Parts: sequence; structure tokens; C-alpha cells
Amino acid sequence: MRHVLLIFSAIIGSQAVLNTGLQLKIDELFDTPGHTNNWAVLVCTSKFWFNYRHVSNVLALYHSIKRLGVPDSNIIMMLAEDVPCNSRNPRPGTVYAARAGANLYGSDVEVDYRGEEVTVENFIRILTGRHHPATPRSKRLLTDHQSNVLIYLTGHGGDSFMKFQDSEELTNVDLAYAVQTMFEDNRYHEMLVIADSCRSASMYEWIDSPNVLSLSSSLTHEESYSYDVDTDIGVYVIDRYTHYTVNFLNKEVKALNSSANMQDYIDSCPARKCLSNTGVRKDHYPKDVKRVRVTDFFGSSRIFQHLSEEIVLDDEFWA
Amino acid sequence: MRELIGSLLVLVSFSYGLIEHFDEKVTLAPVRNNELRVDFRFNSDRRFDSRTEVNDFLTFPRIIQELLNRYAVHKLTVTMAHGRWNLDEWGLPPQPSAPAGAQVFAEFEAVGEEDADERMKFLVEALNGVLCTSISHIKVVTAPDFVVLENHKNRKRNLFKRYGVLSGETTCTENLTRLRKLLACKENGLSTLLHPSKLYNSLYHSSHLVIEQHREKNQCEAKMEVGVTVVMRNPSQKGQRPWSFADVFDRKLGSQCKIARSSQIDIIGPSGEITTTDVRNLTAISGAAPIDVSIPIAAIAQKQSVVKAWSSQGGFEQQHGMLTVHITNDDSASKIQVTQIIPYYVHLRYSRIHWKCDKGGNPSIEKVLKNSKGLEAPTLLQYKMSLSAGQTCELIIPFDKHLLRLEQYPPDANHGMHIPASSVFVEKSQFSYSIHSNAILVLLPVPDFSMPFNVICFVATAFALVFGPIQLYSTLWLAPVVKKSQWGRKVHRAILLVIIVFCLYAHMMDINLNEVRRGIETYFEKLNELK
Repeated sequence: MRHVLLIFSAIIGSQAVLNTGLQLKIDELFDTPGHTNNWAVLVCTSKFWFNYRHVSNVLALYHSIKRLGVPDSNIIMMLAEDVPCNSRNPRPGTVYAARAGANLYGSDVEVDYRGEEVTVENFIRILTGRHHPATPRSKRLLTDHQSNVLIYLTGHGGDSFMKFQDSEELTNVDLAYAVQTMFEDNRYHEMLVIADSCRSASMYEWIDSPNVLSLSSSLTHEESYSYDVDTDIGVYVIDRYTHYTVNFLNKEVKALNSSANMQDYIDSCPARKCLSNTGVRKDHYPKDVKRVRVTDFFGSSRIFQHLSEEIVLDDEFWA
Repeated sequence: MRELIGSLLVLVSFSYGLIEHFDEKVTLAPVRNNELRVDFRFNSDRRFDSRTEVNDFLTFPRIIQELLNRYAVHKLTVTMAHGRWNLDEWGLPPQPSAPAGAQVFAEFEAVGEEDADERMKFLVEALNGVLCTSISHIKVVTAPDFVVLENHKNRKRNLFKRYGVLSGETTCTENLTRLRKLLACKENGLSTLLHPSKLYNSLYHSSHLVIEQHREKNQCEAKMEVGVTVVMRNPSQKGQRPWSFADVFDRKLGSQCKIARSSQIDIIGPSGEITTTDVRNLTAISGAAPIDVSIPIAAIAQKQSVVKAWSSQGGFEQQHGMLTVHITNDDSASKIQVTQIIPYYVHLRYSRIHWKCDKGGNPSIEKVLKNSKGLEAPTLLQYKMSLSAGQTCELIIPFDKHLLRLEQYPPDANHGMHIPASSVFVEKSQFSYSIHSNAILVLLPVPDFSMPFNVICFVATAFALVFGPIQLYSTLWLAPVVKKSQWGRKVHRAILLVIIVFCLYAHMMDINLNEVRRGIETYFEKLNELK
């Protein structure tokens, strides 16, 4: 028996209210986004207390994208070191990205992978979706062909690799293969890869999958630098690239309907601020980055798409 | 108003034969001058008829009920702790006692041992999801014969027990957040006092989740207990004025949990008297002004005497070591049951494990020994014995440290690896309790992790030398002289020379291979553009 279903276009009323006048004009400046949901994988790969800044990098970005609507269930956060409850932390249970900043480790933080679970294997498993069947949903990247995925890596890196946990490396070829597997499994619509480490431009060198935009904090022959030191804690608290990223998100992208585009974001950390040249790779990204909203990757709005054609769902679908 | 809500709840639930309760309590006891022990207990229970599929949840968390049903759990205990409980000063630890790190004890139904192992794996992963922990690599022992944490009455045939301790596990804000999410009152009542910045700025903190389900004919009873225990130091440092909620929790109590059956604050005074405040009777709290409670600073004068246990490490060399568990009885005779888990990375010397007791020599000891199954399960040692008043016994466990396989070392191998704390279950005539000793950190022999690379380099160099100049000179004298000039050979030599010169140049200039590859690639790209 075959089910024949007619699905008519359904659009939510509140959406229609927004589509008037000015909003429509602003929309003309941007390409229509093709995604319906947003996901993020935020990875801090460094162990040890003195890598405090990598944990705060991830947490600062986590709060920014959460503010722009990406729910906790869609954020996979990996922290290799327990910094907030580390015995060396003079302010237990807290992480600060600036000397006078707000606590980033409040009770709303959900860490999915921590400590020894942050391994290259687990990272690749998250991307490719090949988990042990017991793995809970909160630890899986449940993306589909309509998901925009943000992958953010921070830690210590070198030419063509990123160090995990002081014991193993993720090479740029590993990363490229994982992304290609995701593409072949239809696990993303568009992807933004950000690497914040020394020589990080080498991380996206081998990525050849379509619809991937890659950014890095420094070029292949350059180092990346940290931004601020907190003498009370005795460690650097944030890296330059992430500091200016979060700064940009907080100042220019106040809400989901912000008209900031990806080019604005790419320009947000010039060499005189970052002390390194940021890397961009657009050759596998078909759109003009000036016509892409920052919130396509850093935010999450419920985008409904109209269906006007008839769709037949067979038994296999309902099984 | 409260009565109205209460009666509504009963009305709704009565029609299904479903009864749920939620109780909350915080106990504050000054245990030492300037040190305060705080115990939170949140109890949730639920009775229902198992014939009807009840999908209504009033106060009991649905996810816990699903966990109980899916894995046929009878009882599951999870504890997480940081710091060391000071048995001398703070008295009896919160029950179930928590060792540093994470601890899991599960009793559940399964078809057979293999099925039970598989189920345990799923259960641990499910716990990771519920509590935000990362205990996937916990190694559990099967079926401890003697009591570990408390007496279990169930003697069903298809009931399986698993017990594991992970000493290195950290516990932080995210775990507390998840525990709070299980409570019926998350945003008001006593749970608002669970504020991470103060709780983690403490001498000791532990939390636990105990869930259980009993079935009698068609009546099902599910229970959940969430507990948080903290020992903190008076922030004022002067120790002159009494504690207040604002000192202890960084906030005052500003709301009531209206759906709770009971909600109380117990304060234990210097002579052991308990002052109970029922939060629901506080009228001030419903207004704008949050309430603060004053707690005396004087410590409880009369300390309860408890059995004490601590572990220490002996041995002075890289290869051999010795674990000693010291147990001191209090001032009356007691029966104890000791459980020690030994992970696979130390090898026991079984013949030399022994007890040494003072005062009246060694008592009669029953023991259970379950051998390690390599990476699958650690060794389990259990002892049952009676101690006379004030007696001290030492369990001496000599072991060998072995070089592990390269991939078995943790990311920071030089930090050492833990041998979990031993658990001691104490039975008195009136009551029983469990305590834990401390975990010890064993420094294993650590290999040179760059050794494979060094070996490859060394062997390659040796090969190059042997099959290069050494072979050349040893055979050259015997070879006939070739006079004719050969172009092929000259070109070959020229290429080799260029490669050697390039390698030397690259070495001197610190150029890496990736850069060379990129250089060649860009060169070819330029060539393509020229066409």
C-alpha cells in the first residue's frame, strides 16, 4: 500500500508580519539562505591549566551563539581541561575571558565532551556520526542536508596539524576526510570551519568538499597571539582572534535579523589588531560572502520553506 | 492557595492511581570553628499501577522513570565528589559515601552476564547524557559478593550487580545544573541555594543521585534522591558573627516550592539540638523580602566517633609498590566489609597480600577475590571481618608496576594513574554506614613516547650507512674498473647530488616538507597559467 500525501505550503503568521517594507529591502541584499537549522561543534583541544585561554575562547563563542538562538542541544562542546573546578583556579567554578568580564561558566553551560573524552577519534566520530549505539543524543551531531554547521577548533597547532590533549594530533587531511564524509552522507548544507591556533591556515588546506567556507586566525607561516592576561589568575585569558570575533558578534550582531554579513566578520580582525594575517578560503563556497548573513552560521532562526509540488512518501519512509 | 494546588494535584493523580511526592530539606551544621557542613536532600517518589501505562508526571522526572524502565534498574547509585572527607573533624560522611571522583553502583535485571555487561555500558552512557558526566571509560567489577555501600535485600535470580569507581573524574557546574534539572522545583524553593560559585569554593563537595524502583504485584514504586553536600569555610574569616545564608550561598531564600510535601531547613546547634524551620510556614518569603537565616558559629561539641579508613602507598622503586589500607575502629566492636578495586595497570602479588592487626591479633577474615580480566574488568578484593573496640588493622597489598602498551596510557601519562579508594561498610548493632578511604596516585614507568620515531630514524640511518658507503667501499675494491663514460650514470649521480644538496639546504634553513610541497604546487600552478 502506498501513502499518497499532499503537503501544502504552510507558513507561520508571525513570519508574514516581518516581511514588510524595510525588512524586504534588507532581504534583497542577501541571498536566500537554504538551511533550516544550525549546529555548532566547539572544540578546545588543550589540556593543562595554563591553556585557560582556549577554554575561555570556546566558552565566549558558546555564549555568543547561544545568545543568537542556537540551542544547547545543537551545540557540541568539547573541553579538554577542567579549568573552572581546577584546584589552581583562585575563583572556583568560574571562567573569565576578560579581567572585568562576566563569568562564562554559569549554571547554563552544558559541556558534552570533557577531559579524556576529547580525542581525535571522538571528534571525527562527531562529524561523521558513527557512534557507539549507546551514545546519548546530547553527544551527537544530528545534522541533515538542511543544516548549517559551524566547526570551531582552538588549541595549539602547527603546520598541517592540531594538537589534541598533548598526546595526539588531528591532521588537516583527517579533517578534510571527515568533512568529505559529511558531505557524502548529506550531513550539512553549508559549513563554516574556523581554526584558531598557530599556523591554522594549514588546517583547511585539504578541504575540497563543496559549500565549505574556512577561516583561520593566522596564515600557515604565522603564529597566533593571545589578547589579555589576568595577573590575578596568572594566565592569558583569551586569544586575539576569538576576542575580536566575540567582540564583533556582541557589537555588530545584536539580534538574529542583524544585517552584518560574512565579509564584515572576515574584516573584523585586521592584521594590526590580530598581529597575524587571518586566513580565508572561499573557493569551495559558491556564494558571495557579502551576501551572506553572519547569523546564517552564528545564529539560529526557524526558517520555514514552502513546498509547492506534490510529494509521495512510500512505505519505506513510514517504516 | 497552597492547599488548593495540593488538592488539585491529588485530584488529578487519584484518577490514575498515581501518587507523587516531593520533599526538600537542607541541614546546616557547624562542624568545626569556622567550618560549616551543608547537606541538601531532595526526595521524589512515585507510586503507580503498572497495569496502566501512566505517562503523567507531576513532580517525578520523566527521564529517570524511563531510565528505570528501559534498563530494568532496581537500584542505581551515582556519586561525584571532590576533596577529601575529614573523618576526624566532620564525623560521619553523607550516605551513600562518596570517594573522590565518580562512583557507580547498579543493580538491574538482565538475561545473562554478557547481556548485563552490555546493559551496563548503555546505562553508563545514558548517565553521561543525564548528568553531563564523562565516565564512559569507567571499569566496573561484576557482582561484588559482600556489601559495598549498603545492604541489599533483593535476592532475585536474574538480578545483576555492577560496581565501578573512576577516581580522576572531575565534577563541576554542569553536573550540578543537570542534577537541578531533575528536581520538581528548579527555580524556587531550596534549590535556588545551589549556587555554583559558593559551592565549589569549598573544602569538600559531593553530590549523589540514587534512584530505585520496586514492583510488588501491580504496584510500582519509584524513588529518587538527589543530594549535595558541601563543607565550607566561613568567608568572613573573623569567625565572630554567626553565619547567614548570604555568606553561605551568596543569596537569600526568596521563594517557596509550593508543590513540595515538605520543605525544611534544619540547623544543628552546638549541643546537637536541631532547630527545624518549615519554609512553607514562612510568611515573609511570599512578600518581596527574601529571608535570611542565622546559623551559630560554635561547632558541635560532642563528636560522633566513626570507623576511620585511609590508604597510603609504599615502595621506593620504579617497579614494585605497596598499597596499605589502614582501618581504625571506634570505641565499640563492629563488623566491617572492605572492598578494594585494583585496576589492570598494576599486577598484584596475591601470595603476599595480608592483614596486620594490633590488639588481640588477626581476627577471622572471610575473603573474596575476583581476578582482573585485563582491560575489561579490574581486580576485586573483598574482606569481611569483626574488629574489637579501638583496634587498628592494615591491609597490605604489594603490587608490581608494569609497562603498558603505548595506547593504554592516558594523555598525560606523567601525572600517574589512580588506584581507587577502598570502601568500608560498617555494621553496628543499631545502624550501618559506609566510608571511603582516599585514592592513591601511582607513578607508572612511562616509556619514551617518541621512541618509535627514534627507532625508525636510527634504523634508517644504520641501513643507509650499511648499504651506502660501507657496502660501497667493501665491494669497490673487488669491482672491475669501468673506463667507458656512461651518461646514464652521470645523470643519476647529478640527481642524487641535487637531492642531497637540497636536503642539506632544507635542513639548515628549517624548511618543512609541507612547505616544499606547497612550493612545488604553486610552481606547477604558475606553469599552468603560462599556457
